[in-house]
Parts: sequence; structure tokens; C-alpha cells
Amino acid sequence: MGARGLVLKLPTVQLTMQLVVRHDRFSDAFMQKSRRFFADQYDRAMRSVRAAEDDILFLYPPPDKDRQRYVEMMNESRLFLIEAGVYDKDMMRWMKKARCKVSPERGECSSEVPW
Amino acid sequence: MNTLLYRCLTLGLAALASFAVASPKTEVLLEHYGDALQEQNAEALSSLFAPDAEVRLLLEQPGAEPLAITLTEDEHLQQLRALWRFSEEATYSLSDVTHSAGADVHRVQFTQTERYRLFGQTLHRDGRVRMRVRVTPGGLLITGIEALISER
Repeated sequence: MGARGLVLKLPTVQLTMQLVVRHDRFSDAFMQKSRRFFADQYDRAMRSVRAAEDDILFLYPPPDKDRQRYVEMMNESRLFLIEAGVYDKDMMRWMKKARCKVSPERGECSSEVPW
Repeated sequence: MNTLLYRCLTLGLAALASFAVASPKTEVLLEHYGDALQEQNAEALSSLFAPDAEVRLLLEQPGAEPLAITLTEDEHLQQLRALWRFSEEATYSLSDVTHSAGADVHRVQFTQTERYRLFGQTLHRDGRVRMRVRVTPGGLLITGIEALISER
């Protein structure tokens, strides 16, 4: 371990949970309270994530020389899944905007491809 | 001409004064850094880093170029927390320290020697560390660390 090996830290899947309700059967106040409740769970969820990460030794991002190759590999997978109809194009368009806002230096941010 | 000479002298003295004042401060920062490691206090360690700090590890490999891995401060601290959680008898010592001061950025070089027991084995890790420190209104913050690390 350490100099002899590592656990690769690379996001490959994003899990989301959505509560969909019939808006005509609930008051605006209830729906606003629900949104607030879910937003307030963020810190709790991140505590669980951090606790899980603290159980992993030598959890490192890819070595610098391989990092670009991994980014390209993930881009290719994402484009394949979009074109195959697995991912929703509107959602992927928004997610690209989010990625490029956080990390504008990403190669995909100067690309014309909308997702 | 005399005015120009006076200004140059003033600027020169100001630079020297900056060096004289800044150097002890990096010593204090390094003392806090060493204490936080020894006490395994991730919160105290985090307070010494700038939010955009990067940690570049160069892991020595037998018969090959060192493997370079760049971590954010958050990733670096996560690894220390995991190491502290699983290891026993972790000790840290800093030696061969040199300081150099600039107007906005200071540099500190030192050898960081670590020893700990992990999964029944005693491991030694030596790191030749180069630390960049930024001068901010609130004090000094570490903006970057590059460490050439060998394990034995």
C-alpha cells in the first residue's frame, strides 16, 4: 500500500433521490417545507460520506500522468450513454453547465457539444 | 538622483525588514503544523491551509520515476484521518528546516519523518517537503506542499 498501491478515487456513478408529488393535492407551504427538509439533509448525508471515506486508506485520485486519460474515458462513456438514450439530454445539458461552473478549465467546457 | 537613491534604499530596507519579520512567522506556522500532526488534529491542520491549497505527493518507486499524485487539501486531510484511524503509535518529526521569505509568498523546506504501526507492520516514511506559504491579512496560510516520499 502507499507507494506500492492505492485505491482509485474516481466518480463513476451519481445517485439521486427525488420525491415527486401531485402538486394539486399538497399546499405550497407543505411543498416548500419538504424542499427545505431535503436541503437540510445535505450536511447529514455528507457526514455519512466522509465517515465512509475515512474507512478507506490510500484513497487517491488517479496519478497526474493518467488523469487526463481517465477524464477522456469518462467523457466517452457519458456520450455513449446519452446517444444510446440512457441519459436524458436536458439533464446532461444542465449537468455540463454545473461541471463547467465548478471547473471551467475542463476540456469539455470549450467544446461545442451541449452535454 | 538623491531622491531616487533614497527611495531605492527605503525599498531595500523594507524588503529586508519583511524578510526579518516573515521568517519567524513561518517557524511558528511550521510548529503548529508539526503539533497538529503529532496530536492527530485534522481540524487544527485544516486551519493552516488555504482553501485552494494543493498537495503533490511524489511516491518513490523502485526502478522507476516517482509516481506523482496531486490532492486537494480535503483529500489530503481525508487520508490523514484514515491513517490515524487505522494506525497505532504514529509519530512525526520535522528536521533540516530552511525558510525563505518573499513579499507575498514564503517557502519552507524540511524533512518529515513518520513512523507508525499499520496492520501489524511498522512502517517508516521519509518525506522531503517543500511548502509554499501565502501572506494574508489574517496570517500565513499553506497554499501548496510538494513531498518526495519514500517508505521503508
